[in-house]
Amino acid sequence: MDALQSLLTGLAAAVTPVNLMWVFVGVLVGTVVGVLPGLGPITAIALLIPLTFGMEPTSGLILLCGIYYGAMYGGSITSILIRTPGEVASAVTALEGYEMARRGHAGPALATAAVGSFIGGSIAVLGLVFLSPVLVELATAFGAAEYAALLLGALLLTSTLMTGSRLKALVSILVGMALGVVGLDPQDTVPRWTFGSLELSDGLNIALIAMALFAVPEAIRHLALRERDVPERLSTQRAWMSREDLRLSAAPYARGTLIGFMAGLLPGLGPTLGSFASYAVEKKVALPERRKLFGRGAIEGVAGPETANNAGVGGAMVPMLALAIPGSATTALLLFVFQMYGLQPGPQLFTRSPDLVWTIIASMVIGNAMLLVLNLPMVRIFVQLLRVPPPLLYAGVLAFTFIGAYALTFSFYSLLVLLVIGLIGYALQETGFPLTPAILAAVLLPLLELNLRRALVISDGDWSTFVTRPISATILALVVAAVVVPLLLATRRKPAIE
Amino acid sequence: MSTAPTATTVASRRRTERLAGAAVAAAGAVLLVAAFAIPEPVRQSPGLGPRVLPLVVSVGLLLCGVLLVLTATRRHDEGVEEALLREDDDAVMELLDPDEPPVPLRGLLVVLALLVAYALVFIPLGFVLSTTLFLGTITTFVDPRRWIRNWVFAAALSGAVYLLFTEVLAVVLPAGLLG
Repeated sequence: MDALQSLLTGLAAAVTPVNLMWVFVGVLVGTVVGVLPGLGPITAIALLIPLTFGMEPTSGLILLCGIYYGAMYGGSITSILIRTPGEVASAVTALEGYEMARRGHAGPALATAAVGSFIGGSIAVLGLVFLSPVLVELATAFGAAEYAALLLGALLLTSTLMTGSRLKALVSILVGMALGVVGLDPQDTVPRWTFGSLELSDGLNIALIAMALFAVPEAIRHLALRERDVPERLSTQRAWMSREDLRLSAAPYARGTLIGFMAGLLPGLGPTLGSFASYAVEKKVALPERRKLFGRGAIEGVAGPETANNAGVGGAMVPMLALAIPGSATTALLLFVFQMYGLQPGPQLFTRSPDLVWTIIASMVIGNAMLLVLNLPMVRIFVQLLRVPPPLLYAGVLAFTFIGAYALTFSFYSLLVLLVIGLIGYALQETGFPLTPAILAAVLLPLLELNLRRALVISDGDWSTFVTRPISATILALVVAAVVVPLLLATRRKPAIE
Repeated sequence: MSTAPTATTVASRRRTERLAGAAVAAAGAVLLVAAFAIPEPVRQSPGLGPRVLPLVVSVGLLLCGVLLVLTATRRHDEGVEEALLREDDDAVMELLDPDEPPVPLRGLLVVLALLVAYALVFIPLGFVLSTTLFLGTITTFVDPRRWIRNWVFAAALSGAVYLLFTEVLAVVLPAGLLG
């Protein structure tokens, strides 16, 4: 019950007026940005990191976690009403949610999503509370070899769950890895791929890469198309669900929470796998007469994936906080923010700054409750944001990326990097390459390389260290199973589908 | 659902695929050359040197690029229409990547030119002036009839954001000419 004790202490610390204010501002701003079409949680955090540059760590991190949750909520509104998901994970919500809204059930769809997000998000935080200390305990036995094996697994898993062309996902990962290599070598401190530039030897900033890959290409596209008019949106009634809606959603909520949390734990996959898996499960377990409704606005198809999506956030926080291994692009950005404040997540963080960790975790519980209260009655106010004219929205986004980039180094150099990587991102996006794997790879590669080479230095260049150390060998075996088995299943099942 | 792609759009998509593959391969080649230029460390440590990972990444990009070109070309022989149409099956993919209209070159060039100009004047002119100019010009390019609304928005947003960051959030933005 140590963990529960810590959470309660954290709650007590989080319930100061100042912290409550930051939670509130975070979830509010997050929802606002998440509602804006095409902007998802990753973009929201990347764009808003500069807000926290001048803050103290606890406030800044509370604010960004609030923005994370808020943007997930906001994203479900956009998915349901105008079918414009901000990221892959909420695309699944749009499948059934938009169909519900089209048939005049926008209110129940929004309420189902909001309640599901609350349930998934809150229970996942409890999971985080109990699992992190266990993982921290386990991680004290981890050496460089174990971390290298885990990170390798994360990188490989990233490539398995991508819709569309696998080859393009692989290219995206390689591009991310290349961006991660730029700078001084982590071990021998020789410059790599800096092309003689002094600034580049500091490496490329992750927040800068995220802004350039997620905000810039989207904005360029919409502005170059000269879109003037607001996308057509479906009308909303009050966001409320009937007793029948609740009855239909109860089981999907439970399954979604479990699936989402477990999937979120997997390094490299994060919430995306959770919402996909939950949708598949709901479709499979549905009674025949309900299954017919899938694709035509089945409420289970909103309840399950949306719950899983938010439970995945809590799940993804576990490896990020306890092992400093990000499970999703968004947690990768949060990891960067921790490091920006001079804090290194991992076992030491729990022993050295327990107050900070538990206050942040407690703030997530509070943030989720606030979002539910905000969203049910106020959803119609947020929906008004869908009326922001596209030129103003995307031009404003570009100005914000400039602020963010400038505030990183206070020089022209980061504006230049923003534009160059932004152009690369635009070209990749226009030719159908997924961009999420790139940002994850850019974060994971330096960590993987550092641990891999450190392990080899310790073993004096002997590669067998990875299989003779029991924990490392176990992790590698699990990684092989997780990557190879689905591939085998997929190739065997393919003829049946087509 | 979207209408079935015509033969010309399929052909142009294939051309784009080949071009993208070639670009990826070229980037891989450039990085490969640059990877060989990475200096050896003064004191060698056991295990991997600084060149290994860059080499793996650049060779990987080179191979993937070549593979992309090859698949785009080979599909041509075995009925490219069917192969490309099959890719559109996934409902989620359809959602993420609906048949978006192609970006007109003129619009793209104007936006890029304005972005470069914005970056060049951001520090010399200062945040408020440069951002007002950038926002006003780009929104008026997109929607010229509502130019009054656009310029009011540009000036108001720049001013408000500047005050928010410098006064409330303690993040210094360039003051430039107005400073």
